[in-house]
Amino acid sequence: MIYLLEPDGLEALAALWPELTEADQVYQTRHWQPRLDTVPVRQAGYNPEIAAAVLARWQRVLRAEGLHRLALAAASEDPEVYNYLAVFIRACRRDGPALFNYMQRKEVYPLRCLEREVQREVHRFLGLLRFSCSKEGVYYAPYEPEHDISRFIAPHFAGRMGEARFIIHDLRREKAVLYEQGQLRLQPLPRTFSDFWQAEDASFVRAWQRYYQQAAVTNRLNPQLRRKNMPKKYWAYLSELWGAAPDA
Amino acid sequence: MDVVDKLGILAAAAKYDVSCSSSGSTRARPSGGLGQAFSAGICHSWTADGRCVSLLKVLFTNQCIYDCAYCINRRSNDIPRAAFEPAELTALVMGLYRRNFIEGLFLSSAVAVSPDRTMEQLWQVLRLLRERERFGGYIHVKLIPGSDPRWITIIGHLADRLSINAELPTEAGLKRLAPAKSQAITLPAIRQIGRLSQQLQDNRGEPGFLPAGQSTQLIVGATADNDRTILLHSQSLYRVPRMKRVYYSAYVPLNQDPRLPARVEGGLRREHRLYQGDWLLRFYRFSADELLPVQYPDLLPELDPKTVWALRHPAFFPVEINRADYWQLLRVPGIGPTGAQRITAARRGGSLKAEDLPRLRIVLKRARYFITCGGRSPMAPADPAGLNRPDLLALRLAAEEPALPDRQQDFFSLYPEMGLLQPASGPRQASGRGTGQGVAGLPDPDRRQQEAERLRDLFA
Repeated sequence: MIYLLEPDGLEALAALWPELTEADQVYQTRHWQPRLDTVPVRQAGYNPEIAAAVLARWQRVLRAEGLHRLALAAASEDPEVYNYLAVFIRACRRDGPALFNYMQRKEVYPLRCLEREVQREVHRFLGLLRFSCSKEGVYYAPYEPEHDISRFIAPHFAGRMGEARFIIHDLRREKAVLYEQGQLRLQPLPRTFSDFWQAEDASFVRAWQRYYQQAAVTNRLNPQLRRKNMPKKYWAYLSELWGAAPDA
Repeated sequence: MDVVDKLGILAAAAKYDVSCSSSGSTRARPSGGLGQAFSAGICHSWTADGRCVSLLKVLFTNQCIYDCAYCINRRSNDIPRAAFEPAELTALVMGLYRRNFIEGLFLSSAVAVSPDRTMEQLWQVLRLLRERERFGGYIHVKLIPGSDPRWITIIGHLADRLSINAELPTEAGLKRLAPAKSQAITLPAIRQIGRLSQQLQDNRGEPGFLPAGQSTQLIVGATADNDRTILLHSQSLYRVPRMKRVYYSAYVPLNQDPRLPARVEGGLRREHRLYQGDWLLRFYRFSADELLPVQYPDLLPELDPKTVWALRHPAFFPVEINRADYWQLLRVPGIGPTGAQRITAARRGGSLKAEDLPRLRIVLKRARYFITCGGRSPMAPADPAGLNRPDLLALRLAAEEPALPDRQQDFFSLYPEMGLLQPASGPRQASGRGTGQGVAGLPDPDRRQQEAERLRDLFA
């Protein structure tokens, strides 16, 4: 059987877990390409109570840190991610959380690669996210990450922004994290929201751009190294690079 | 002059300080305040020279009473001068931090009236940030040489890191290029920062005193000091309590001065090799004497210092991957701290084979000459015979090592084995070798031949 999951994240797999066998495969609906073979395909349901119970069971085995690592991997856009997770979780029955260390094994390596890739993007966006401020004092940061990382980066900003309200908007997935009165909320938000956003902080952007221009040492220019650390796919929302030469 | 113009001048004046790190400090947001410190540090951008921007790195003023030969801000230079007001710099930091442009402030200064007057102005900025704005972000302050030692205690309670630049490894160099500075001033200050922060943490349990310790910076290439002198000096600096980093800055000619070299060939390449050597001192338990014995006082441009050490110590190898301890594994070219940790953890799940190592992100291309897995060498059948001879192996490794151009290098991949971003397998990224460049990025075939002969002689 091939199961298709509509909601994403580790919870979706957890809700399906009791009926999943080793022979089954799992894909996200948006990644599914119909095939010519005769394997039956079924849309999986989502029961939050089952998901919570299964997650609690996994946490007893893998501890909170292990579960967080699985959740990171589950945020990947790799179409095979749920199958890698299923194989790994079954292997954990025997080896427990130590299995994360056995990267030489085929049931571990693909999952660790995805986990690392997502973790890297999470860390990168802790720095590369750019907020602008409206005249009402709301901070707004649009971005287009490769993976579904909003839920992982939002607590970091909630921890540092104090009383300020903010919105982190994943334009690619058309959803956002809203932070207000100490509460984080994940909800759908259409891409067009960014077109209507009016920032009132041109002076800080001007200061930042001036600083950025002055901070490079002319005798050491190395644009390839800049692109390696800060790939061009992220440049659209980086105010310091607005107007940068296309071959920079 | 508006604050953006001042920022332009004072950022340009500060950019030659290498440090921009925001790591080593953990602080939750103060109640009713803004900002926190994140122990791993966060890069917020990368400039056109490929360097990370983490902190707003500025001078408080570039008006200076001193006339150091190498310094862009020296008194005799005809350049635009500016000075911040403490309140305007505070407002700027808060505004940039709220927009997630920066992780905090790196505040240095030229010496406008006197060292103590300058320190007082820096202190005013810090007080506004920490006490009025309740700012919890990262702050790195440069101690002004010659200021009252009591400033260390005062600033140390407000900043995350305090540093003073040692500048040059010898007193003779300082006398020639920076007569206003002296090791008699800088070294006691460095030791006092270390002693005080150690004492306050040990005796009074004050983790808030300089939580990120101290750092310093050495200029490379402005004097004739060799790499051994520099690394020995760094090693002694690392013995000072809470010295976290020694930064190296290849000398960049900014001033016309008869005491200075006009242009230093290969300076950035040398800086990179020194960082590699420094990494080996800090994380691999190498000593400066091991890396650079008296008879070989300079690092080689063609090969990284760990590979050179391995070639000079053939009796240490091969290392058996399934039995060697962590520190032995670290001595193998191609295995770094992360790789060694992965190996020691992974082999608890079963004996490792050569084909497992790429999955642990070990750079087998270099490590294979120095290891065995289950008693068997992972060298490929296609590898030529005679690679157990250090001179032949040196040539082979130099040819395989990615060309190291003389330009700004990546702080995050000082060793290929520490380059966590590399794929485990697959085609190697273009390294300039396809563009006709040879060993160490030298395009000239004659020069390449000379380099090869030199390597053969060195390891014969």
